[in-house]
Amino acid sequence: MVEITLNGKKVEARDGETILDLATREGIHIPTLCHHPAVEPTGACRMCLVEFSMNNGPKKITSSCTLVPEPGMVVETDSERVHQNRKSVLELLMARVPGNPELVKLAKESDARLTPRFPAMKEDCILCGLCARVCEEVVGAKAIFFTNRGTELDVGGPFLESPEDCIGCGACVYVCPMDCIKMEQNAETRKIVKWDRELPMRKCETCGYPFMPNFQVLRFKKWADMPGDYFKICADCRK
Amino acid sequence: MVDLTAVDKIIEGYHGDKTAILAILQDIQAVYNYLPREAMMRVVEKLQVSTTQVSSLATFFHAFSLKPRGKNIVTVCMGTACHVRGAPRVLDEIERQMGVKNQETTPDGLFTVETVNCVGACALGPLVMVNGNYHGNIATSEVTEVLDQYRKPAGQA
Repeated sequence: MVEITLNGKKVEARDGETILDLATREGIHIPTLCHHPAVEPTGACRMCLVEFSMNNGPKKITSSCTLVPEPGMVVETDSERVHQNRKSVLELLMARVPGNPELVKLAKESDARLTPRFPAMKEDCILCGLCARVCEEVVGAKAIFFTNRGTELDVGGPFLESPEDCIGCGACVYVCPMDCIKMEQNAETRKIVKWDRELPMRKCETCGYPFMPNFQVLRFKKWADMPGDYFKICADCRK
Repeated sequence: MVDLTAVDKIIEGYHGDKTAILAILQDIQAVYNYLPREAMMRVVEKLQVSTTQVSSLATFFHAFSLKPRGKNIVTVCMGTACHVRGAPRVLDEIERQMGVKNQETTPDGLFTVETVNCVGACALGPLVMVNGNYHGNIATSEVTEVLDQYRKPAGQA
């Protein structure tokens, strides 16, 4: 247990909590994009910036999702400087991904310009890497990750080719804050469009519904130690 | 097909240690002058790491090349000190003489032209490095002479 000052109020942080966790528990809203409770934080999107100081030292701006409470810490989540910084970050992100509904929503919550002053790019991804973290930490497939760096940085399969380790589970589709990873599915195959990965579907032996890609079935079998015929029928027919 | 015996030997030298992955890639590049895809896939297989890990490391560092490179690597320093002393003109001259652009290899496979942001020898600018040998205070008129040294067969240089 560590006591810190959060927006002028003394609060106790629990073990393992970050400033973002603590603030959320205290009912303070901090906007986030790349944060997900199921994976380790990386501080990539910079939306959760806060201002903090140690023992009355100089005030610094940092990401609250990676900030660990320490004795003598004073944190401000609502100061003018915090809002200025978040606004700049948001306008840069909006210049990168113009018109993204999630970014527009965040802009409307703050006073960020809806038409940023920066030249617009036509990207669909903010390179937060949440898809890659989920793929590694939750799914365990490690099928996608960053390639290159700096202005060339991109996310996708190895060497930006179709990822052979992708099991088509769709976890990346689900978590993407920009909703830029699309999935197409028909009776035979499922395709993760952004990664150019197409996988055959397993059909339920009872009802015939294509419920899961074959690759995912194989992985689940390996993990769950289920009987061989467990995944021959879908979850609905198993009930 | 690339002969991978050298790769196996390098990985063995590090006892299959996963944390030595960068050193292994460097050693592989020292042998082949670039990172062949087959060699990287062998590293994935032997070290039991993900393909994404090797791909992200190999593409992150500019020191690694994924394309085959020439026998001699000509590196033109484009750091601030070299830049103000005329490095762009030196690069132009090298590209003109070679008939290739930056990051490209001559058709005879003898030279690859690369640029780097600083080699830390600013007092010698403009500076061109060939196979790790420094050629400082180089003038465009000296480019031919320097490159000719590396055109000779090994042993006579």
